[in-house]
Amino acid sequence: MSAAVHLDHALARRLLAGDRAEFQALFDSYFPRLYRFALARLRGDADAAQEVVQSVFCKAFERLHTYRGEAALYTWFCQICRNELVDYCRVRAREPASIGLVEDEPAIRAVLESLQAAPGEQPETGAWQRDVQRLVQVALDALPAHYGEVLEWKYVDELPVKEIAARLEMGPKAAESLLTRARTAFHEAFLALCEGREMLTPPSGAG
Amino acid sequence: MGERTTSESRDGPEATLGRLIRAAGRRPAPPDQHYERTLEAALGSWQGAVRRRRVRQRVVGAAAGIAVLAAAAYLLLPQFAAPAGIAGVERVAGVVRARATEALPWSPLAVGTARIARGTEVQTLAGAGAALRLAAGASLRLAGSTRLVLSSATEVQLLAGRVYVDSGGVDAAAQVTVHSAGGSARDVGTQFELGYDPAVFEARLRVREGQVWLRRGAVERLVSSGEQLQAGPGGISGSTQIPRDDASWDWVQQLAVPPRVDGQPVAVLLHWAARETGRQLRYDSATAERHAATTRLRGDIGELAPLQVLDVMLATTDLAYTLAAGSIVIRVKNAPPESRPG
Repeated sequence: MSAAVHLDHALARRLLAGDRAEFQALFDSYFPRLYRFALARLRGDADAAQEVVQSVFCKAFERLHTYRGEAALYTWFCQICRNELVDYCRVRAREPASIGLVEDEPAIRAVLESLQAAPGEQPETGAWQRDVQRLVQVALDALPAHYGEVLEWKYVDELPVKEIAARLEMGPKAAESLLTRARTAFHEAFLALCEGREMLTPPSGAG
Repeated sequence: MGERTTSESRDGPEATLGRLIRAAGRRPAPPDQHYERTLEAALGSWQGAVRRRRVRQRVVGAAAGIAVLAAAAYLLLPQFAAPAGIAGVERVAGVVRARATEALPWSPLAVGTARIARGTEVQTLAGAGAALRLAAGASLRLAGSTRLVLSSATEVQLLAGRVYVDSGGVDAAAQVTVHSAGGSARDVGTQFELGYDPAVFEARLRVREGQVWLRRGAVERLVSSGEQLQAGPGGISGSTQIPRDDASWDWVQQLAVPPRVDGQPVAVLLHWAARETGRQLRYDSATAERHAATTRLRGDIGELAPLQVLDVMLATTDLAYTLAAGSIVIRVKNAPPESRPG
């Protein structure tokens, strides 16, 4: 059991022991990520996503005593979410959306350039850009707690490291170190999402 | 505008990733009403899981380790203060020693050791015993010829010998897990003994109070108060009865740590003695019960066994006790018996 999973196992035990603060922290961290996970697979149906994620939390807590640390706790929640999505779609006879993946590392720069380019006039180009944008967000959601937020604070909100440190209640050096780890983790996650999938070389006419 | 650290160059990989994230934009947040609706449902489910766990008492036996998990459901005796660090030493009999790591020499373990550090190995020699108070609040007693490692404030590795866990009378805030190679035991608010013999890879579980699930591999058995089971290579077997006040529990009483009773009602001491000796506490009259609740004790007790403590402390009061059929019966000295209402 890795150190991170060992921590998750200890977290599960604290949750079962009735630690309200841990429950709230876990819910606040997992809910938006699971919601977006479900939303993407339900073609943007927000009410359906809420229903599925609600079911995920209920089932996860019912079964939390069976969690043995085989995988990270969030991964365990995601697996329950996948199962709930299958059941939800089967009961309602609807097709879940499938998620595409992007190319490997050499394409990151090309992807970036294409994202930054004005949306092409061809509908395929706009759709491709949206897919890649979503994958970036999926990669952020897949990261351990705080990494996704820290990267958004840094690169979307353009907050200085000092303010990021203040938000996390840590020193600037620790925040810088966390940012470095978050970048590395995002890089690996994004590459993992890209592997083995043809696409997402931009369609002709893009970037 | 965001700053750029010296580790980033305009075209470096970090800057590239940053621009990628910026271009993707902020992840959309779920609507507030969806957050609130899901939170309400999740909270209910979580609270239900916590309630179920508090009444579920399981002993889990695994091929890779024995875990003894103790958590109390109610606060009975407030004078049991949790020690600083991961454990404190409350009582020592015979030769008991400890070492921080395998590489270091053994040192005698003494009562009043303010702090036992994480990872400390504790050993009792033959005929010795020790009573520790874990930071979680439970009492952990070691029989003779026992070796264990205190991995953290809530985890213990039993390497050989026997330990007794009493999780009654502490806050239900933390659980203590004792791991050893043979089987796992998990309890809530019970008294039980788990022993492990590494020579034959066999564990023995005896439950004095409450119920515990014993599991080894895929097999599970419910062990109730007064019952004993073995878990070995052949599976779980050998169910026998063992009374709560059987002489085989005496070693536990020899390591009992009396509560601080100065200024406390006699009833506190009586409840402690009943719990330690595995007996019911009864009063032969309402007057006796009233006396026990209102008479305050003075002074504290040394290292005496529970019934010896009663002998000493009750001598200073109007109360006396007799033992009868698994009970400690309290009466008022020199008073005629009176019938109790109802």
